[in-house]
Amino acid sequence: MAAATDRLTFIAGLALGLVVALPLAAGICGTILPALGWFPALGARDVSAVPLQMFLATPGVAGAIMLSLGTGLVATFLSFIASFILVVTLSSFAPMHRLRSIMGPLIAVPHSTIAIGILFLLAPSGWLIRLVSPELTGFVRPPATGLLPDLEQHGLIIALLAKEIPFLCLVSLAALSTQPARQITAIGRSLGYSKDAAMWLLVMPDIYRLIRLPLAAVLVFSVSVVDMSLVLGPGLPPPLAVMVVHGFEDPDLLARLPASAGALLQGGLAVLALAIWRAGEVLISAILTGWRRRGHRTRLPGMARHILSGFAVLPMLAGLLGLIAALLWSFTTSWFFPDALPGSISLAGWARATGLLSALGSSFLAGGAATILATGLCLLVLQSGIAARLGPTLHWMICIPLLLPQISIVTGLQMMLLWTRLDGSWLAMIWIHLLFILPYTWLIMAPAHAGLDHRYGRVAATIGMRRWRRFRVITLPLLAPALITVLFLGMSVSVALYLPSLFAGGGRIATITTEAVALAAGGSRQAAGMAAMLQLVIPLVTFICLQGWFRWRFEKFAGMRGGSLH
Amino acid sequence: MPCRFHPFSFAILASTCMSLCVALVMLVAPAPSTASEHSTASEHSVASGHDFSSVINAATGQTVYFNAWGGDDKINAYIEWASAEVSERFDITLVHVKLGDTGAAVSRILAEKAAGRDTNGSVDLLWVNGANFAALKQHSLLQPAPWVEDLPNWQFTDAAALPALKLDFAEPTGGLESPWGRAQLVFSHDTAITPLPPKNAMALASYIKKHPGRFTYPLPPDFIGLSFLKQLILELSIDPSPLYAPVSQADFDAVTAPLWIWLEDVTPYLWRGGKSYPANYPALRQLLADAEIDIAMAFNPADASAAIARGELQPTVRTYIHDGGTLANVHFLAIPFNASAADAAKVVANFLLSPAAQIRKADPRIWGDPTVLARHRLDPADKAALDALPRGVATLGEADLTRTLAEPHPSWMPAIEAEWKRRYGSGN
Repeated sequence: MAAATDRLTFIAGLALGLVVALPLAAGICGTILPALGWFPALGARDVSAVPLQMFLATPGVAGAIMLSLGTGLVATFLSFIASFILVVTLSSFAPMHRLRSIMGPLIAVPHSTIAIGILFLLAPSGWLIRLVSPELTGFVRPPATGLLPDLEQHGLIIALLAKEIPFLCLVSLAALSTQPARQITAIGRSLGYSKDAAMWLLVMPDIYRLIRLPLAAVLVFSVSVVDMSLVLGPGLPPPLAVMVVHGFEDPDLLARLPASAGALLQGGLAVLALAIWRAGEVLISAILTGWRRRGHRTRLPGMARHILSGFAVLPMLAGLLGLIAALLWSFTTSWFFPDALPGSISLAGWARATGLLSALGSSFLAGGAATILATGLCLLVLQSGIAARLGPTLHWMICIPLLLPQISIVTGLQMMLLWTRLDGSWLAMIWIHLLFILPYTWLIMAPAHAGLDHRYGRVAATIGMRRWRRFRVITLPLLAPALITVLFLGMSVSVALYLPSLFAGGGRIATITTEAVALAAGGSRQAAGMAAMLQLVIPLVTFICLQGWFRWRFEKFAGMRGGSLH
Repeated sequence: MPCRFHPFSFAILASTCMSLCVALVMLVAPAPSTASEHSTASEHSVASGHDFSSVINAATGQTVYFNAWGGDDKINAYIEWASAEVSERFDITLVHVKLGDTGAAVSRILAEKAAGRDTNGSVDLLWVNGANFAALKQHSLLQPAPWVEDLPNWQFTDAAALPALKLDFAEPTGGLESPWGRAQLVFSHDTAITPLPPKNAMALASYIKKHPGRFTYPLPPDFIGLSFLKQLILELSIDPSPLYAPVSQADFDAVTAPLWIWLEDVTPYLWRGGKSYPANYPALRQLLADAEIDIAMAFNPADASAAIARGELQPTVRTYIHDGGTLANVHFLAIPFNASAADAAKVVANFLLSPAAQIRKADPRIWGDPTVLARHRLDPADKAALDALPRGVATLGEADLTRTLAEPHPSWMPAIEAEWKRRYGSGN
């Protein structure tokens, strides 16, 4: 028994080391070393600050840094505020519950898909203006200057909000369900606070503490977003991460050294953003504490709450409308300004979409394999008990891909892949997807596994059931709801991965997301619309399959949800 | 010109030394192979025909990774057709690796060379011309032996009548890249909105200032964006002759001054105030279709006609060129030194040069890219098929397209790109 556990622990440790720690370390070293000027394959062996100086000499780099930092902080702050407003409203206002059913699917929509929708909706010649022109605006052609928010920054923020508000909402609601919110608000109300005030002052600070990791992930992603910028840009200067990607596309190989310095700088920028966020936390918590101490019993008028919630819902509405616009464009042959609807539609585009279908296949394969492997790895680690030995180190290691900008890891990984000649291989593609799926898998599986009632297993052991059979017959079914979530989320995260797919694919393997971004940045709207719709196929099909499988396999266990035997 | 390599020149030195050594070894060692190349060239058509059947045999079952710019649906669809054809005819799997920027593939091949990957490279066939070809040739990243004139379908070309077949942006091709198509910069406008488009650089400048926000060009280093800048400089220079010699031999600042004065004057009046540019010419075409801008441009004279036929552009769109002529060039297919399927790549290049493939490519309903074959060398049936192709409503006649400007020396392209980035890359 002990020997078996030891063997399992050993295997789990080995797997973690080979599959996770090794590539992460390689990726980080592969960024840092060239950034410092050490790249022996190119004959560069002098450690110096020259690459960094060269990168800093890129025209517009200061503007790019400010743009990335500003966009990331504003988008994260607004999505955080909006999600909390919605959570407070959801907790008391019945019709808002419908929102939850919209938000679930929305978080499975890839970033680039949302960006394509926002582009089709909010461009000066976008659907929104077409809907009201020329009747309300008098425009017979799109306005040339000034009137509209610029897509490169404001459009990007709206697109980020459309993606992150539902995510933070669902995370907060999940956190809320672990808290005795009803009791706490009841106490608050007995002290004379309004229900909302009780929520804001007494419950939400605790929720905030629970969602700091997802918030940090959102902040890091927003500061370093590439795919959405490519779709909505290219503005000048581009965000820092886009500038770094361009550096890696330079035909001059030595341009990789300053580009690596840029990737490192992007990592630093993410740390800076987190530090600024932390300072904001301290400030706001001081203000809130003061507020609570003074004991104001302010009441917000009911109207204000509705207006605020309305604003918080707007970006999601824009996201949904954008998806509809993309759907329309995917069937469109001619749609000229200012017509509100396409002039002619046909299935001709879909009939030619064979290239997109093979990209869709690649996404399914990479996502499917990576998700299954990530889930398997999680189960192995959790079952082996190595998690307990490694403690928080393990947790942080697995979560690194969430807390470092993708570009800072992926560029270094590509150097290693190039060196090991694995670039453009399926192994590299699945491996890199696995790395970026694993944190999500872990964050769901670990608490679910910890919540298991081990007495079922002990009872089974006493009647002589073997370890593997116990795992198969008892643990897996008990984990089924978490497994379903993990598999669905894994596929959704995988299809959304742009940079990792771009760098691991090495141009040889195109996923539906790399295709969609390329087509949206320069290609026909119809093709971009089709690619955007095909991106949605993966989460949709996964959802339907998982539902079906779950019903078929686990219906008889419906009554057993962990918990106690009594 | 700011030298990119400067801080790492020792590395370049090392790699130059290495390629020198390789060149030396090749000069000294395999004398027999050079001899055989000579004999192939002299016995020309018969021998090459015979040789090529052995190439075709060797190519059977190989997979060709064709790295080609993938930003245009109709080009992608044409390549898909070609891959179905070569699969059926020669049992070759042709995979289109869609590039955003051909420079990325050049960088990849260079990386492979630096990493010592001399066989089994990731690129088998590359769509290329101009500065990228010059870079590949300079760093010896191409098949060492000339192969193009051994292709059976080379007989249908006439390099004497079209010297650009052997001269890529003033750089001799040396038989290292096979011609694929021709291109000329053409502008397009919607006659319903802009009945009289400006037909030279100065007129364009005053048009832009009179219609703020209605003109833009693709973001350099996009190929069309840089070509537009070269078009401007050729038009604005009093003496363009320095542009046809390497940039290092000229006073860059003095030669390019008229271009920067023009841009300085015009940029604030560009689409989105010159703070954002479309990624490439399909994006530019989309902006024309949306009536966000008044003038678009493409390197394919039939691009607008094809877009009208697909319903993507208004039927009232027409094309024009500048009075002094516009840039014209040939685009090519090259095989890297470390290609894993060099034989199959040659078979594909030969197929793409065949009358059947070239006529299909010239059809504006398919792609509309002018052929590199010489009409007078084609079989009567092929010639008739080529002549029978519709020109498309918006395509200029052959006679209008004779006013051409030759491409400047390839070294000007990166120099202009760097200076453009320095001046406008930050959006200020």
